[in-house]
Amino acid sequence: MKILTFKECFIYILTLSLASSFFLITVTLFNNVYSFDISNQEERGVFVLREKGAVSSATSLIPLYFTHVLKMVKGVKEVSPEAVALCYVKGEPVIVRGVNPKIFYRVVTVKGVKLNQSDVFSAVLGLDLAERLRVRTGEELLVFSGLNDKFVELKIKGFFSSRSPFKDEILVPLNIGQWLRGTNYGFVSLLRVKIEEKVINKEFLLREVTETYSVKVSLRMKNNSSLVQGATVLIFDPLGNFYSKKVTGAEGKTSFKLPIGTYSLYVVLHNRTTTEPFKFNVSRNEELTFILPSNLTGKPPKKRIEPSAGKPEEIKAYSSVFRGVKWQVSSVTLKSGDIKGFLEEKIGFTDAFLWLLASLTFLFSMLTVNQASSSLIKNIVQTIHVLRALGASKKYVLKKLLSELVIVSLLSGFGGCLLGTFITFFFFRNLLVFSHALTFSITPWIEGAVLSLTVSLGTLNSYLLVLNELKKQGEIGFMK
Amino acid sequence: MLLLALKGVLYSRKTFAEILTVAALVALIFSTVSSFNGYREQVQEMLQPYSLTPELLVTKRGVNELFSGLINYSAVKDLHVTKVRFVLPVLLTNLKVKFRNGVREVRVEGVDPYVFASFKPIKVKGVLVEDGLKCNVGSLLSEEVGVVVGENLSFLLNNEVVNLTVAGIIYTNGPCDWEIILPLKTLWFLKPNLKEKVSFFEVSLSNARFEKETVKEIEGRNPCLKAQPIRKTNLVTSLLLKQFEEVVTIWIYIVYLMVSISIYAVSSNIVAETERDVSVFKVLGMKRREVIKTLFYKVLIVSVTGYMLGLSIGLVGAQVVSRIIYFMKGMQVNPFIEPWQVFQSLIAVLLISSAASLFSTYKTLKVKIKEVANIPGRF
Repeated sequence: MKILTFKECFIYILTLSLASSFFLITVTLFNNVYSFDISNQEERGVFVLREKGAVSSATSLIPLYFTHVLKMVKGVKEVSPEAVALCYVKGEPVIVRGVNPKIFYRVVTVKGVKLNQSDVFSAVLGLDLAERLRVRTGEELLVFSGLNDKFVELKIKGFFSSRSPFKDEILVPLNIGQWLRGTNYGFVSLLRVKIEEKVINKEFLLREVTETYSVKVSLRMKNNSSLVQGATVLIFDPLGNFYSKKVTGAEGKTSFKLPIGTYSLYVVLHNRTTTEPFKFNVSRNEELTFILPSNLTGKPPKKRIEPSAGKPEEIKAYSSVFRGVKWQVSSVTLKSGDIKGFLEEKIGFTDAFLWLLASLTFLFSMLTVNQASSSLIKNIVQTIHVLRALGASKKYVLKKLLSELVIVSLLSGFGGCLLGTFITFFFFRNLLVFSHALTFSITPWIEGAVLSLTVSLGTLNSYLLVLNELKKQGEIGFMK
Repeated sequence: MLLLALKGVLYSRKTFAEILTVAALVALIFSTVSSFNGYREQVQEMLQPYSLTPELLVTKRGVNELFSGLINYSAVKDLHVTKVRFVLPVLLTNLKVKFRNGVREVRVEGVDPYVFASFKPIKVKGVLVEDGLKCNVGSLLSEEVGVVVGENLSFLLNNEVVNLTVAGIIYTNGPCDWEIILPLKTLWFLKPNLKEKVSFFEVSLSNARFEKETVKEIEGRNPCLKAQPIRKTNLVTSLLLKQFEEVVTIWIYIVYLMVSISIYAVSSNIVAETERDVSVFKVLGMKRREVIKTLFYKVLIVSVTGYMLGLSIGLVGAQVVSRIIYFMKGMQVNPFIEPWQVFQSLIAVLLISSAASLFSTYKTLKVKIKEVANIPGRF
């Protein structure tokens, strides 16, 4: 004999399913919105570096010379600089991404029309955005920066499709992205790095580029190999800015702590130096020996010299690029999550609060389940009385009740997960966050957590209610 | 009937749980809505534009493209309104220019040279052209095509070739870096069909406070013109927040769905509880209408009490959370509810509970008296 029949359980199953779907929707929604990231880290072996203190990629600024620094690390295949600007186009806020087409398309996979190096006032649009803006190829698009007083008219070269959030963005040449972002040509928002996963991983790379290395410098004269004591050693960073100054000791040696990069070194002796600086790379702890010519004829350099970093591939107006930029490699991070950063750092809304809210939704919906199960409980108790009258043992009845409740809760849990997934995909899919359509995917751990919570709490709740009702109705013996 | 319903609510042991069920979900709605209201205000305040010298873009009304929307230069007189500092007329066109490495079509910008220098932050290597057959070349373009100061550039027009001397290389960190800049009169000379025409005007104001009134004044003077602030920070922020609001709103609708189910569950319980009582009432001669009224009031009392309790708990909860955030992060947020939001949700709850009670009452009235008449009721 069954304790629970489907007809009696229907409202209970329905309510429990709705409660669990409500919980699933809330958790999925929060998780998706909270972890949303403009940097679009989608592809394998590709990750994004951005400014350590920045709340989001849209506010991050990294010196462009980082491309040069990263390329010095073994295992780095490509470094794509990107300038991300929040703009206003045809009544909508839109993310405009300045890229160097030559490098960008080697790192990111998109299908459709691509930008070329020679395209100046051109743009390619993601298909989803193009549909929203209702634009066509050849049309001129007036783009206003959302951060400063810049605007630019761009010709639509074509459209592209992508599985990543790029489909809601405009791709423009890097320079245009930098204008709209409100930065000079020496800075970008983020660097997309493609690595050989067999050689390095991203944590290792970050450690390599942010670490300071000890460089011991020994000076010797060319003619007699004697140690040079009391000479002033001037170090200029890869951008040509003065970095550090030290005097060699009794052993003709001195040491510096330097981040990764290509440095220039001048040795000043009796107010004279070499005509050209010594250049050296730093990527690990090293001992370097420099041989000085017998005659030093050059004048000591001023505060700034010609940069030793190679000319970045993506920059043409080289002379003005790095002026005023400080050499500071420790300012990058792997941190992602634009909404998370914004909510946490600017709003103070941590993920703990979001999880608290999600838990409250489930708890509060369980109150509804409680209400809905009261008539079911009444029926269960009546059936139990009948079973007991027919001679069923207490153990048998409780075991049977528990197993049936588990089945019913499991059914409700599955129903809730299905319904929740459907509602999420159907109602939230086209909603925009940071001007990107929310993309949902089934997250097994969330679905699993919702299902197990539904089953355990649903079963436990009903089981305890039945026991309580039996106790109230005077089945004292039953409870013993 | 109301008194009878009230007695029914008061004497029922389960009433508190029923009210609490509705209140919990309503509290969830109000805490979310009030917090969102508070945060929206905070974010908008945080992202206020800081520009002290705001600029307006004045284009031809009804045309979205700068290139094709040509305006008569004479319209400049309509732009010199009270709070305007400078007006920069700009004519944009594409011209074929012969460089050392070949012929290339470039974007050419004709400007009023006297205003241009005071309008934009510019660095010039050489001199800024004021008149004559001279031009300035943008820094990025000059690097690309290898142009130097003093060089002659050949502009290939329809029937003739005009040579202009490069007077300076300009650095603006903006679109001009990829363009050739000419005095407006020189460009009109090169393109006679564009004489006395401009693509747009850039208008600099003395203070951001006058943005709206200047837009009105300009558009009022010349209805063919469309003026808009160039800095869109406020607009972009509010649009982004609107996107968030849409997500929150849909989520709130789902909570409303849960509230409806909750009220339905509560009313079903009330029906189950009073099933026998209703039968007794009917036996005692109570009319069908009166029975409906009694149950309707009972559900309504539970729902509205739950709603009021939820509203209070929600607002207090939001305040508590905002206080916690204030102590943790130092950010002052004041959650608040707009009167229309209270009204809207109250109407929703009343409608839901009315529908649920009527549905439940309908079910109750189907009770067969004979089956339950001899069973004692609660009342």
